[in-house]
Amino acid sequence: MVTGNLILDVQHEIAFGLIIVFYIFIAGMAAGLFVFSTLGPVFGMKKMQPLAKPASVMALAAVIPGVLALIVDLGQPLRFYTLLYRINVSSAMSWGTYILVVFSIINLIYIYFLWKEDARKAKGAGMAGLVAAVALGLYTGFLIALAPGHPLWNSALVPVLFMVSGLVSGLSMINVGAVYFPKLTGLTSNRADEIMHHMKIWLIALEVVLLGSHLLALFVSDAGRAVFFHLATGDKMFSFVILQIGIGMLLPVVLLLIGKSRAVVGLSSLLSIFGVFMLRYNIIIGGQDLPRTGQMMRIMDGGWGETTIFLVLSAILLILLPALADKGLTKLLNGRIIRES
Amino acid sequence: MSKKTKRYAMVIDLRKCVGCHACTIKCKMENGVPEGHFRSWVAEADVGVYPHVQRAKLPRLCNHCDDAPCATVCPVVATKKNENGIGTVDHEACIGCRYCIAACPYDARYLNPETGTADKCDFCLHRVENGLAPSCVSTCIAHSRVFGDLNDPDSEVSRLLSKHAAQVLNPEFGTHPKVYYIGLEPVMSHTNFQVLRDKGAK
Repeated sequence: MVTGNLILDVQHEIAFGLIIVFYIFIAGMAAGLFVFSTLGPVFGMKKMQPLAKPASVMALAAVIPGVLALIVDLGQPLRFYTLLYRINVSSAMSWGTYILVVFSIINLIYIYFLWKEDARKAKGAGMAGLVAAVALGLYTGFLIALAPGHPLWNSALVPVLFMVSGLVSGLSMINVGAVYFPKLTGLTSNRADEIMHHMKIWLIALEVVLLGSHLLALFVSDAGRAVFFHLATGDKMFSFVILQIGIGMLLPVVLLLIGKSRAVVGLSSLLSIFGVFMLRYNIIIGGQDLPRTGQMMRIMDGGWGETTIFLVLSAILLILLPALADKGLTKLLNGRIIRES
Repeated sequence: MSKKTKRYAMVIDLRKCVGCHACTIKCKMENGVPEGHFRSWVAEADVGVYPHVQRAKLPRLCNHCDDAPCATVCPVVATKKNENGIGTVDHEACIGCRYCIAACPYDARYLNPETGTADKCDFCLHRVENGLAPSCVSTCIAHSRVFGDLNDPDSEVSRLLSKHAAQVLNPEFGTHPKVYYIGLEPVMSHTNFQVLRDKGAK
């Protein structure tokens, strides 16, 4: 077959960079944290009740740097508020803006009733919040699924994959808090460990199945096949096969299957969080690397510095906010009760 | 057909293009396009086996799709498909979220580092409104690019489209582009402009 050699073309930049990777990662984690927070108050799983308070605050702690990252990433950051009144119903980003706002407000109400020990109202807020959390987890997937011309993005499996991996990262964050920062986060290794242990293995298994199905379906088109090999054997092989699949998905499961000690759970959770970040990285960046026309790979314009700052900021917030919120809210609510009586 | 509403389109006759890149340069001058970015460019490829070697050229620009993915995803309705068929970016409203750049299946958009907003070819709307042809059309030495009104059956674009089996890029995306190519078949059948070469292609 005779094919021409492209000798002149324009190299394009990647549209969604590392900061968006971070946002989609942290939004998924917020959704996951919220879902696990509601297991006790909404679903009545008594063993999971101690998770409710810390996880709900951690979900809020994850949303804050996420929203900041979104605003910083804009070309015109000071115009971010126009998203609230210039609405395009066909745009997933318009929907996402409101999902983020509604999720944050419901989460605040939920946190308030949790500390007020109002089980009935906390359950109501938790149920509403669950809808918002699932919407948050799914919309980050629809955001990219609705962009034509990216085979790695255009799949209805992507939103589900992002939701499930968000649950994995949320659960792992809870484990990290319980193992390394029990005093600050108020999370303890307790009776819930056994359940979480099983949940995590099955969630990662589901994640692997979803990812596998998504990748196999890529073979339907030439461009899709090219992206598959870009990830499996090409430039992204190290970050996809080794970092994401090997270290971020399989190793944590192997660790969980071998041991149940605190050290093993902690290490496996840290690796899982890393794996979920790499999943976002490989799908967002890997999905844009290959040009739609031409033969030159697209340029990724840095973003490592900002992303590192956001990652550190979220780690600090995730670890410190639960204790601060607990102190502040207890004081606030007790003060009010004393004044009322 | 009503003569009042215009429906602008471009026809590019690839048989005439000589690959001089005057359109690329004129577009950058006319629209002040920043370094490293292009609203209009020409991809070239060597086609065939010796002694039957040819140079294939493919001028590229915004396709002004009727079903434009960029307009579908713009969260602040800054990117619009106007009644006259020209897709535009409102630089006062655009927040620079890059969603349209990710959504465009033709790589026609870029984030203008000087304005912080999305940018692309607008068929030189400022010229068209004043009765001039887009700068790439008026500068084309081979008369390969033709611009006009599809609603006018006597316009040159209408006559060319009625005479030739013109094609558009990537019809499979269902975007209904308004940039038509004459002679696209010989260029695309030999040159895989979408060949996705991996390693060593940087």
